[in-house]
Amino acid sequence: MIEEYGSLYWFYILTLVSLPAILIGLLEKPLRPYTRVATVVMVVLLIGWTSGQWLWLVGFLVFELTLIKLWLRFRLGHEHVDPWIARLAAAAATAPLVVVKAANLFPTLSIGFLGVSYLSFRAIQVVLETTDGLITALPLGDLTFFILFFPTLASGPIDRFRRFEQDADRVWTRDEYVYLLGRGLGMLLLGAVYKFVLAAWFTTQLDWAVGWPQTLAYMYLYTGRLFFDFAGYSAMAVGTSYIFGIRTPPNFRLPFASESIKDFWTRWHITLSFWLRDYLYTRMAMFFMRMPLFKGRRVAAGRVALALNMLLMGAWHGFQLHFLLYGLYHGLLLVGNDVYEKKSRLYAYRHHLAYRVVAIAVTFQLVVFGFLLFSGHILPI
Amino acid sequence: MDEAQEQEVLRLLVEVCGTDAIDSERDVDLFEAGLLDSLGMTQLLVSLEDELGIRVPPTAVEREDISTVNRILTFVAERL
Repeated sequence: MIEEYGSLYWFYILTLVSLPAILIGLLEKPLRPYTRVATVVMVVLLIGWTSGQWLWLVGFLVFELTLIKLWLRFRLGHEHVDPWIARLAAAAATAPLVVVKAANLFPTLSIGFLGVSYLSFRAIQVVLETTDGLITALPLGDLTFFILFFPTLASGPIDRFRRFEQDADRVWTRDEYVYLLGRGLGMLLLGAVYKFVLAAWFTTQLDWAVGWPQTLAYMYLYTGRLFFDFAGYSAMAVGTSYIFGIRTPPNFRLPFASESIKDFWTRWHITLSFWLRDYLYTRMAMFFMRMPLFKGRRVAAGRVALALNMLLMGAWHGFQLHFLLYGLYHGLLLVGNDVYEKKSRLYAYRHHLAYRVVAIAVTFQLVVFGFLLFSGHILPI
Repeated sequence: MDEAQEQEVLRLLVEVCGTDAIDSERDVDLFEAGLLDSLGMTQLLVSLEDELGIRVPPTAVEREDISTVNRILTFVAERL
């Protein structure tokens, strides 16, 4: 078992596996058949045979693929599907993730496998788009390839089936492929600098000491490490995807230049927050808006959905208290953000330079405090 | 789409965006201008279904399709 993008050994193997892909790409041949073989090899290497994780992975795949296939068959046979049956299908697709997250609360139970949170979200998304009638054909090989695509196995980014398929179906011209290759290599390099230089430096500075000044220092250093580590990994995952002809969407877009918390969530772990927005938040908000309880109070219904959405975002990371607090904190901040935008006269000045500078500084402080909650460091105090 | 329906869509938009300035600036990107967000978009979808009977699953809506007043009017006209 080796860590994805984590060691020289990994990069050595990645180079070996990438060279045929580059050759295929430059010769203007379809990349998909080779990428599938490469994905199988890399998944075996990443998961390993000794840990028992592979059993969980195979079990997960069999469960999700069977569910998705049955759901598609059911959906195609029915013009209208009862919303509660659709919710049941989505809940079933989510069940393995919930079981793994619950088991993680008990250190002695080693259930789960690498990337379970990310792989689950890909599967759930396919179920929901099938419900909405947007997916009408699901070849088993394509679906498995989408869920397991090795460059994004360990920690995303979370791509979307229909978008992924468009790229996977394409045969790139040489000029197009050269562009993808150049971008891919550039992102790999940027990601490597982020992870192995910057995140590594922040890690050496981190000190898990108790006390207020130490906690304050920890808050900023932890934020630095978290960002450069995850943004570095993400850039390398996106870069590798490009080499294999898949334009995996980016996960970060200058998050610390955010001018509000709402803005922050369009720049930080983008594929997760957009996934939640499109597949969870919108559905919850529409459901609440139709409840008699929220009659004539659609904005309030939307805000409750927003807070709940972010709480579940926290729970997606794990059921530990510090993750739930992190989610709740961002939920309340986003609701506050919405109230502010609708009520405050200050918001009218949002395009002025001074406003923007102050807004960036305030948002940054709110964000780093959120990461302190996320780290779990604040709880022992 | 007749005049009454267009007026109804505009009324819903003014309600969602919280300003009637949108009526005169029909090609401004509402998301970029900070007038429309996920909450507003959801309100709009629910209103369109309740008031005009247009039912669209949320995942089938691309933000680009409804980013300006004119695009929203086209989006509605195509589905009436």
